[in-house]
Amino acid sequence: MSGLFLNNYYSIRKSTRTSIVLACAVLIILVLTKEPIALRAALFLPFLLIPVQAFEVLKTDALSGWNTFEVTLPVTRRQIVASKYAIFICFVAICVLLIGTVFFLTHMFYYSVIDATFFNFGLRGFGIVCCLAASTFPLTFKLGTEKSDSIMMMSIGFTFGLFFGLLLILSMVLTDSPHFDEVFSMIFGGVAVVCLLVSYIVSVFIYDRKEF
Amino acid sequence: MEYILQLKNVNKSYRKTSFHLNHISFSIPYGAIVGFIGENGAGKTTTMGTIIGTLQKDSGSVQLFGEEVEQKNVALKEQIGVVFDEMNFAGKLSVKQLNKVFKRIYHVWNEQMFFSYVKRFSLPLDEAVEGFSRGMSMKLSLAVALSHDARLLLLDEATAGLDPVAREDIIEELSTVVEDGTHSILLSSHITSDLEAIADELIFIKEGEIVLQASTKDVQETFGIIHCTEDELQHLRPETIICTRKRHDLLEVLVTDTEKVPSTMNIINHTLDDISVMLMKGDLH
Repeated sequence: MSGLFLNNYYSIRKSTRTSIVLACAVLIILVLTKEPIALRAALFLPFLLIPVQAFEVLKTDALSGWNTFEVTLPVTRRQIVASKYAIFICFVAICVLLIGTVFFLTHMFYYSVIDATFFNFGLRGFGIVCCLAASTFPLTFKLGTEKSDSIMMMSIGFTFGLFFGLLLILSMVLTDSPHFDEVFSMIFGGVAVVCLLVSYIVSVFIYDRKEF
Repeated sequence: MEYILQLKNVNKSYRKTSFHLNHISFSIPYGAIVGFIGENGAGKTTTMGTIIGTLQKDSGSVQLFGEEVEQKNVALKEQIGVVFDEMNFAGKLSVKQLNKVFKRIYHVWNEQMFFSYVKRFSLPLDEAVEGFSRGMSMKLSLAVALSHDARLLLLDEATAGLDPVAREDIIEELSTVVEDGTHSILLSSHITSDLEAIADELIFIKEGEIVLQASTKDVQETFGIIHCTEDELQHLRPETIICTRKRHDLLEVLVTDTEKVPSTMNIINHTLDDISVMLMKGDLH
């Protein structure tokens, strides 16, 4: 699978580098403003800039015909799907590392930023991008990249539907909880991980039957 | 005789079109180059797809080295090299990067052989492959297919759109691949002159059905096209007639053996193109 992963990486290397540099710059600028809203945005933005590059892999694969060639290679279709999810997870890890590093350094040398907001909004950003991936991957495998705009709309709908649906349910269940934000963020992050796992299984199922 | 590839009664249909493969059966012996001929939409790519696994057959059997080809049989896929009508590598990658990718995919990837092909084909090492000409792209695809000791090469219209020099380079390379008798090639092409030059056997497909499989030598030397009238047709042995086609007041008849044609009949000089057109446009017997 490492060969597939490497191919995925090479095919989006330039745009990934650009998005990492951009995310890094925006993150630092936002953190330096000391504004609470800017800090919250700083925890979201890298997740929206970097891991979405993994969806570009699907487009470049379809555009070049690599997705057809790939199934003729001595790899299973499950490995092909796994390689797409692996690059996404890798990008999420880069985001976590990037945010963690900038916030840690700021906390150590500038002002206190590692608090409940850091964990809550970090988890929410993580959850949102995982939900986006959880819907984008299987939908793209099923409908094809030519429907990418519709897929993006559906994925955004699914993600924010889940986010606000969960928020509504928990606000009804946990009416007087003093740690509502923390509980919600953790549950949302957890649900997003479960969605991603389910999405992987669904994607493998779809890809096994896909024709090129 | 042992076959490297055997298809038996392969059927494949699509939900959105009425086109289907109808009981496709043919075999490819070891050490042979087999030309696969048919007009656009005849079913060449669909047949190739059922062999390489990009398409799933409805029924029938596809055996490679005597073993049924299955999606999950990764070891069998090591033995197949595929070249499509377009280069199918991600455009941003360079030749060097592709080498790194394939080194991690194929267990028997021969890096030295790959770079020797790259050198022979004069391909740049560090440029993104999206900038390659069609000839360079096809040569790169062939270099990849030849660098993991694939025993069966499947080339789908790989020589189409190439200039004569690039075509000759590829044709020459293919001829050397099968020399040791352990490798075979299935080559689909519209360019019958290419097939005439290298194919040992020819398979003709029409509307999803195999209409003829014969050796190139037979097609060139014993097959023939004759012009005759409806009455004269009765004098031909029925078993020698493959197909007929009405041309003005006469009939064109494709026969398997010109020796068995009455000497009074007019046998015309034919090319593989003529045979192909007869099979595609004529009425099969």
